[in-house]
Amino acid sequence: MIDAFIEGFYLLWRIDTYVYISLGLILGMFVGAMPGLTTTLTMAILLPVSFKLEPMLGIPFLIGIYKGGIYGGSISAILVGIPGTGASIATTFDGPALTRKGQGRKALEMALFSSVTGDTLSDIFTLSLIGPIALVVLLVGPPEVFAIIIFSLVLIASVSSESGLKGAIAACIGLGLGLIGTDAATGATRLTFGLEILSAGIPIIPLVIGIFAVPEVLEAVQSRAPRFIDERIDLSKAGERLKWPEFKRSIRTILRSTAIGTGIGMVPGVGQVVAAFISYSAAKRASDDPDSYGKGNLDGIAAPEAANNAVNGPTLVPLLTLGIPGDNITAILLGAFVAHGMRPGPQIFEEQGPMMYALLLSMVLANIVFLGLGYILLKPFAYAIQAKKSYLVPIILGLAFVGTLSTGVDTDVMIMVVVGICAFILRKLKFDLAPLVIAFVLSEPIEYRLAQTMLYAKGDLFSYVFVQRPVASVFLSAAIIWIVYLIIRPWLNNRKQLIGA
Amino acid sequence: MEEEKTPNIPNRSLVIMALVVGGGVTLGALTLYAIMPSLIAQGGIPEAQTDFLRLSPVFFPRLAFAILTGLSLTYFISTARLLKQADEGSVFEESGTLQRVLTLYSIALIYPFLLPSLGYVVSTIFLMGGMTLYLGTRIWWQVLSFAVLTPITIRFVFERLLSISLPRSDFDFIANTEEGLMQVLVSIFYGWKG
Repeated sequence: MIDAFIEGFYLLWRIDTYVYISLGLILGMFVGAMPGLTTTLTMAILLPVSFKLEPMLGIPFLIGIYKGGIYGGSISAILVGIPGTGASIATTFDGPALTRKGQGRKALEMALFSSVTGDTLSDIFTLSLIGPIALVVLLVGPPEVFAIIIFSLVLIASVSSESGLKGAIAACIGLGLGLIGTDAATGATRLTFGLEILSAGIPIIPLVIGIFAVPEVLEAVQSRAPRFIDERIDLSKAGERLKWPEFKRSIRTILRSTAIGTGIGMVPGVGQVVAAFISYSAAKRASDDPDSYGKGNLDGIAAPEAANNAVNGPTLVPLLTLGIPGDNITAILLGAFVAHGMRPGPQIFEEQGPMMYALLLSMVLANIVFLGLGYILLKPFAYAIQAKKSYLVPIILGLAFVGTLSTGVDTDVMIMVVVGICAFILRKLKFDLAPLVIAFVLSEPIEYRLAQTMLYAKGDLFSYVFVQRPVASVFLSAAIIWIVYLIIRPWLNNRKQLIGA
Repeated sequence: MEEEKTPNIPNRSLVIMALVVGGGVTLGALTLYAIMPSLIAQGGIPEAQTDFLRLSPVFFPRLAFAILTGLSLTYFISTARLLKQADEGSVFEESGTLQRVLTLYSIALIYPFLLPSLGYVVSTIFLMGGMTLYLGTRIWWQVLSFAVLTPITIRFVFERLLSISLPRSDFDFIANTEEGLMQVLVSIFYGWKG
């Protein structure tokens, strides 16, 4: 493991990796700052670009977009009170109040420094723990992996949409789409309706671009407003820079929030938004002056920003050790790993240890670039969020088409367009499509592990899984208990209300 | 699973849309569940497909579609209950939104059909120009320069820097003009190599 780490460190001695990280960070921050456009959209349309690059360029490029996007959302949240991304909603509690008090610059810099601190610490945590976790995961067999995937999928489906029912429907649609094509276990082709182009399954690029880019473009044109933000940005009134004693006062909050974000990042499906809210309320509870929260407290910026960026690194733990993406972004990253010939799972650190450590180390080093670029480009990004929709929307749609065309298969464009309108309709009905994409990428591993489990079980699946494999039994039982709880929860709530009345 | 609450679907149009989606998914999933065995094409390892110890290629898709049928039927029924109490209203908040969304989507739908004949740059000039005009920019030189320069830049970056080839026109005149333009850009950025 140490050898792989050292080899990985040497793989990082190349300037082009940092050039692509910087490019990713700039694009991520720009799009993240734009309310209405998301980091997922940027990663989806630029995923094909990463395919064409070497792994040591393409994946750090996507990681740069991811990191930059989460931070970028705080710029508009602080300056005009409109979060650029969901992860920055909690930042709007204190950000605009600080801007009104003439401390916008301090708030922006606090957001940057706490984001970088949270991100760096959680990346170091991920880097130091992921190897040993992978070694432990190597000891578990197909029944356990199958059970963990099912448990994760149930968790993701139940927490992602506003109701578990919608999340579960999205996940089942994703499973169905993922099963189109050739069955890995028997070689039989399924659900292709005689179409040759479907025999290899639905390609991930048009699916991801259709789901994430097309609906966002259509949603952007729903309002007649010429810009995403109507408010005028005036940084001349943003006030002084953040001073060291002010940052020092927030260090305790940043460390607490980093710990919360890191813990939440390791659980599939929960994500940045929850981490930011929990950290904000934890900071408020721990504060000597809780009443100042919401009225312009710098800790109210530090807490959510450290937490939402601290989620980034640990989300890679379930992805790289078990092959389970916890959210949209890690599902896209999984696509990138697979395209580069790296199938995340327990064996990846055995087979490609140096490369894995190099990529994880690049995440840590990206934070230094992140700090520099964030500091230098703060002002341009603050003004860029006023860019006109009539230029941005065509560029995004144009890039979405180029991304899909890059597969070299003409029919992929039609897949993208059709998937796009379906995704738009589902989003109108408040379906979160993260479970769909995650289930799509997990459908093959789920079926394959189930097939292996059935072979091991020699015909007695129930007794084998629930009696002979205690770990698998715990995860499957937890999934079943959670589903039963979700079903009876409305009934329990009604009963509680009746008793209360 | 938890039932839908009224505030989630605030108006009649959305409820009807949800019913159509719920009903469509239910019917689709049920049909696929029923006809799944006939959707297994010939091929693969026949013995493996009938071995009772192995997972049949039909089993998992049928399981997924059975669950989907149950879930979407629940969604359909719970949404149907909201129909009586739903308020009048449109799917979109602003008037004219549907028209804007449909126009933009139509432009996106026509674009793939233009690509094979006109090639990437010319088709994208129409796409960019049409959208920029439709979204409110009226200054002709801004629209023109944006519509022309963006696809040329994208083509140069993707083809020459990232080696991602983009569709060429069936018409030699257009294809050769585009290629000539790329050569000029290559000579500017990489130096003329004859």
